[in-house]
Amino acid sequence: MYIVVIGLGEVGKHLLGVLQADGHDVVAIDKSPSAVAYAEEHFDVASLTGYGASQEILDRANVKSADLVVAVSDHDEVNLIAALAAKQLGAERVIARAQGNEWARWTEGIRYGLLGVDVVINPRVLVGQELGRVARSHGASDVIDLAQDRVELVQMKMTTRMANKPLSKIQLPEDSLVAAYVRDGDMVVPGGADVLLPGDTVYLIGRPEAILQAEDLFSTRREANRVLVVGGGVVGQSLARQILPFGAQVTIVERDPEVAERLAAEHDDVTVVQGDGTDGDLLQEIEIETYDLMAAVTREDEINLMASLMAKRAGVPRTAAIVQRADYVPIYRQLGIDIVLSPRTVASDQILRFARSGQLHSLHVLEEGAAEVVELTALASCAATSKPLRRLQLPTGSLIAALIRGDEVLVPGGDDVIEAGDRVILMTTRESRASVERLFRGRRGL
Amino acid sequence: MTRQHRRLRDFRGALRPVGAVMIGVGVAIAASGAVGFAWDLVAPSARIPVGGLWPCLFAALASVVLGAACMAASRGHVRETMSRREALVSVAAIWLGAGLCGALPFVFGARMSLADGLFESISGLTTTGATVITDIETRLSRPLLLWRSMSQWLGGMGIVVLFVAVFPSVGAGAKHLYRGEAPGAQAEGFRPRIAETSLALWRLYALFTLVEIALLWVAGMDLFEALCHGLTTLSTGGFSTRDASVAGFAMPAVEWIIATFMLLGSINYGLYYFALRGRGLRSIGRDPEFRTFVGLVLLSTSLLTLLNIELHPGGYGLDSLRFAYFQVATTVSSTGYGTDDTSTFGAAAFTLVLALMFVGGMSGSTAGGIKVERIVLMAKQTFAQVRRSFDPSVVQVVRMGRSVVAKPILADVMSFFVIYIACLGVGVLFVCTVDGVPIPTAFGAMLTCLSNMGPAPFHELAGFADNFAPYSPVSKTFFVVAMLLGRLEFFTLFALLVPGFWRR
Repeated sequence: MYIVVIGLGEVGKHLLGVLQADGHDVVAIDKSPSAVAYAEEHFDVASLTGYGASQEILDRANVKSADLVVAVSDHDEVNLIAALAAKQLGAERVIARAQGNEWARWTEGIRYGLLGVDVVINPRVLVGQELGRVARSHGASDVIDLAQDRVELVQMKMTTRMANKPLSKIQLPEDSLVAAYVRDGDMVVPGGADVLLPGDTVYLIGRPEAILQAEDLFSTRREANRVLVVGGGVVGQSLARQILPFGAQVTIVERDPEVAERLAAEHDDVTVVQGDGTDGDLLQEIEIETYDLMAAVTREDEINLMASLMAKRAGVPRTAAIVQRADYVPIYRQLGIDIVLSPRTVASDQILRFARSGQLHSLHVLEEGAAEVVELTALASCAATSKPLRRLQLPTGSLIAALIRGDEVLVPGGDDVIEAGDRVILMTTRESRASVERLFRGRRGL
Repeated sequence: MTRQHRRLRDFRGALRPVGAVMIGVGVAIAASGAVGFAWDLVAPSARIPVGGLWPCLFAALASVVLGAACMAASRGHVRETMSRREALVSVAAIWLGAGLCGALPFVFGARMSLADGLFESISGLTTTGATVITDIETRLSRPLLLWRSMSQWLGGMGIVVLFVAVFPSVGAGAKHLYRGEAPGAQAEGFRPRIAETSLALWRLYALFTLVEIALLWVAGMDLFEALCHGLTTLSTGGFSTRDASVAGFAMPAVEWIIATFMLLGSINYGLYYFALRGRGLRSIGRDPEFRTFVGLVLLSTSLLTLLNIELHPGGYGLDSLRFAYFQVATTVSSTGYGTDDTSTFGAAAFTLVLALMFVGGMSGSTAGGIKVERIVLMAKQTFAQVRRSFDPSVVQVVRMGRSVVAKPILADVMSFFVIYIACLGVGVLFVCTVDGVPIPTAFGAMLTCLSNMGPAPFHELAGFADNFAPYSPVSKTFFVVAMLLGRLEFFTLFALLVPGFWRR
């Protein structure tokens, strides 16, 4: 595929790395010469220095024959205009990121066809929603929605509960299963004899109701009723909107008096506190220890880190932080923060699925790219259909986690058969991705 | 002094491409041997000596073994993406390794010393075309002739570029490799991925070569010799199958064809690519470097025609025009075929040829020399500098066509020229000291090596014929280094001489 990436910030650079590794022809555009020099030095891509929304630059990047144009610069308006211009010039598909407050309501996380741009994504809203789902879960550290809320993938940290027992002895609820676990950085798709140990990260997949019960086997936590949000930006508001309907009590701490004022005016069911989320006295004043969950979601990584560490120290049972620099995620985890999410990962997951085959509905990259979960439609002509799963010879490290047939969700066993038109949710490690994809690729031509 | 433990970087990972290229060279040698041998069976020639299959096969075997050893040594040390440093080491080692393997057929098959063989092989790969063989026609059999031409063809577009095209790898490593070899001040790919750029370059190159071979054959040249000359024209190499070079055929049509293809080979291949990809032939004409190049060729051809009109008293100066055209083409393209004896030229004509040897072809072509682009940029930058002396506050921007040339590139071009002149000077002194030849002779030899030209002006002053056989082995080895420096455009090799390069 011929792909043009406009804007080489965190997301842009990350995309370059992944796209070149997948063998795409990539042209990178940024107005900063040093960002372009970085891309030139580290990736096998062509590059242009200039304003991404100008016709001259877009012409030079030859967007008219581009299969995909991704606009992820730091300015929402530049992204939208660049995407529109690229579409006008003949690009096949265009994606823009718009993450400012002004766009939050309009974009609702992800919108198709807004203003003529194929996909507009607001990763901050999406991260807020994801945090909301985590807050509703029983102790999960990440919750990923699949197949329009019909299937859930949750990440949990193993404690001593259920540890040291073979998986086959753990009575998981129907329609749920252990999809994978991570030990010492290695991702394993388990068999019945595998034993989970304290400290492992476990991935559970299944129907949302079943998953909630499954979570209770591994954790004593319940959904968070009192939630403290540090940072009243897009992420914080989106998180609040996600959990308020379930009766949660939300307190938002916002530093900027004007923003705090406006928040209070807009949300009368939220307590807004004006102040610094890393100020110990303030935290004491609002009795931080009475909260079930603290989420630090400002734009500054340092503040988020400090605020969640202070909350942890004050005895908040679950702490969450968002981090712009996705490389920091493992460090945050190591420091004991339970839930660490990055808008960059969310944005690139959304974008990368368009760089793959057209049958892909969603894509989630797990554990820094060690594995991924994809949702795709099984074509009639692919090798995976019309034989029982046990005869499919799936490569080790991959798993068919769920099948969606019409309105029915099925967590399949070895005797089940994939039918043409089924939506398949499958999990695969990086190593076996290529061979799994081969099973689901339609035969070319007639 | 503190006792500091200075550790060297681990460069074993850089050996993998070296090994692969050596194996590739071995295969090319074996193929040349087999084709040459088969040709002798099918169409025996009374003129060309027979034999040479076994030396080629032995050389091929040795190359494959050496290459496999390099690959084995690199096992377990290859990193996911190659760093800039590793790429530079690789490029230098690839050229040395390929040169060494390429020397073996001459050593085994033509009873040449290792220094002579290495000179001939590096002269081939760097497309210099200087030779130490005085009696090509009686000494080299078909397999060896074919390998000699093949080495120029492989080196013309670049063995590293070929490697990148054949073994596409992921990441910036391939790009670093490509840049270590690609000629020109602003070496950029014209496809997003460097492997595809390389493949496109080689496709164009192969296509042009096939067309020329066909044309030469139609013009009446023997097919084998057409093949050999086709391989050495587009690469702007200049090895011929005749002692008297192209003059030995005495066929005007052949001279016109070869001269034209030499010029085609000294044009930036990126221009062809874009022209074929929908921008049309006119887009070539809009390129500023191309305009300068064409102007230069036209001007020098007309000048040389007029200056030499009495030397070639053909009808209405047509002979003179053909000789001048050929001479200009062979010089700017740094090919080095001969139809004319430059030592019979008048002073003005000879000076013109000498000046063209410095300039060379366009950047991004297979030609050697300083390159038209660099000359233009230097002139503009110097003009800007002069203007600054009386207009210090005017903001000066150097442009190439409409696009502005970045300051680092200008600095790069200037230091290139300084290094070029410095190497020339040091080389002249060295050769004079070692071999006791007159200064102009040493100058001509160094210039031809650094520019990857071929024939050596001023050789008659030392009583030498137009080849490098009379020099001592020390000087020959020195010329080998000079040819490599010229082909890799200095920076790649000089980087390896900086001590900090090797330290951790």
